[in-house]
Amino acid sequence: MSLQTPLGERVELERQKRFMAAHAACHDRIYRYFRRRAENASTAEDLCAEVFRIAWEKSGHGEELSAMFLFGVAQNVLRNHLRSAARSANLMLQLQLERTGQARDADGSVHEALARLKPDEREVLLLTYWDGFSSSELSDLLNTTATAIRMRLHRARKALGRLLQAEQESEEYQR
Amino acid sequence: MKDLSAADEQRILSADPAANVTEPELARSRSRSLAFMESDATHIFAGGPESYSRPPARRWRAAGAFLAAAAVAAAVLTANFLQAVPVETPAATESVSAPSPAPTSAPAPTPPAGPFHDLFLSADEVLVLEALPNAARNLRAGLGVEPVNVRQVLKGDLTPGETAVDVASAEEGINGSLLWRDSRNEAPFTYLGFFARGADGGLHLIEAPHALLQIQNIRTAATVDPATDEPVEIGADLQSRINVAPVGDVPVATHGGGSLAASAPDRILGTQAADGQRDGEVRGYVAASEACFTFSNSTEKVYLRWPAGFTAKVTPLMVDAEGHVSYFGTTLANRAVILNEWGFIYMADLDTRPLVQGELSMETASCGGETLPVFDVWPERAGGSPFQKGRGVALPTP
Repeated sequence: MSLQTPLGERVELERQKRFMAAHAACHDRIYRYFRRRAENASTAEDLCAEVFRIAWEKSGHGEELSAMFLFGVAQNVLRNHLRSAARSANLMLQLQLERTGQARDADGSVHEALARLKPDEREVLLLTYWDGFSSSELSDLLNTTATAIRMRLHRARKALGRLLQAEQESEEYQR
Repeated sequence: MKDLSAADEQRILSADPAANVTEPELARSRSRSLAFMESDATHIFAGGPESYSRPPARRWRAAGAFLAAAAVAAAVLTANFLQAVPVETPAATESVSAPSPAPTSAPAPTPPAGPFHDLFLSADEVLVLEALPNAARNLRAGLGVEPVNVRQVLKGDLTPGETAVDVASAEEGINGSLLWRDSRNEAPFTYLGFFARGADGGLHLIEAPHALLQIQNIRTAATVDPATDEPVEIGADLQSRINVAPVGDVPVATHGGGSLAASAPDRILGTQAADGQRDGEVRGYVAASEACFTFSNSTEKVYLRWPAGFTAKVTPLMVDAEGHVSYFGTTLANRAVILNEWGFIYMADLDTRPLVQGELSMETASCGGETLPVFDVWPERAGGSPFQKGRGVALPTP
């Protein structure tokens, strides 16, 4: 039997407000996060919806729907998506190739260089440059120290710099 | 080792696959990610016990109607949220694609981390404002729509300047308009306020704890509950966004204390002359990176040391033929002034009868080429200003 009380209504209203506030604040960033990593817009939409479905569920348990929390959920959702869709060991490569194919017209060599980075270094680099996270935010998100993040970012920048330089030299040589 | 050049960094940013995400694409995803709230099926996984038995979206719309009727954001839902969340209403869908005032075309600032995150997010306007005097007002009347000077807009579409806001909801705590503005006629109180725009288009203080805070120190943005004077921690992020401190001021020596305690020892006033007038003069010396002030009368000369939050600057003021700052002055001249923690002039160079009060320390310091005993100034109260007291709340501000 359902018993609706003024207190219950108020609590539920507060929950909805918190949820809508979190949605308004974070939806676009999270959608873009998936758009960068999923195979297409439709999948990004699905994954984004899943994040907010989970967030709604968690909000019922009093979870604070901060940006970091939502991105943590987004990470897990993406990981599950990739895992469940992985029919072959090189799925990541396929996804990468698919994505880079979409943007190849813009600067394919950058995508190729990014694909050659170590996965954890690439992720820190992309979370920094594309998703706009700071080192301290990333340390929360990736559950490591800010120093480790900075070191990883430093290595990623160096490696990418080397790759882009090599690519440039190769192009000049071919001319 | 080759590191990334600025050009390489630009290439990474340009290669962002999400750089070309369109507004319709975002709008579609926004709607999709809220669709489960419309569905009874999704309600099951939303994990609600029986208390969630009504479709959430219907209640959400009911909440919207309630809030519109209330004409204030009695809780924390705002028009921004309603615009930003297209819950199947044609109007909401239109607002997403409209060039203005769709939130996506003028994105709201990121809410600050810390305890005021939600309140900031909920407000239509977050303002730093001064309570202006209202001579026509019956002082015994309660707070209502009050004249204010908006110093800074932390969130919202308002522009700085004079306007009026509804602060009636703060009445219970503040207990009357006398305390909302300033009964001392010295300097206006500065507040941080969280407002919702009502159906009438006016700004109404949100009915939530700490929706109105008094900014006690305009430089550090230290805030207190205006009803209790208890400090309220707003978080470093929000604090750092408040930027209404004077520009171009320089530090002065401070003793770290605040206003005069009731039982302060060794309280010293300006020397009383035979004719009953206080005899004394303040001199100020402001350099590029520091400043010092002295006070002298017929019997002594001291180096003035100030409470925490005081600074100094040179500012143009009207002066009379003798160079003293005066209402009736005919010339504008640069004068060294000391600013109190609220950013108002506390004293000015060549001030006479300045009513200096505080206590003499055992230290000495140099100013204007002289080594003098240090006198710690203790204002009568927070925000107090002998200079402003004689000139009224509106004149002059640095």
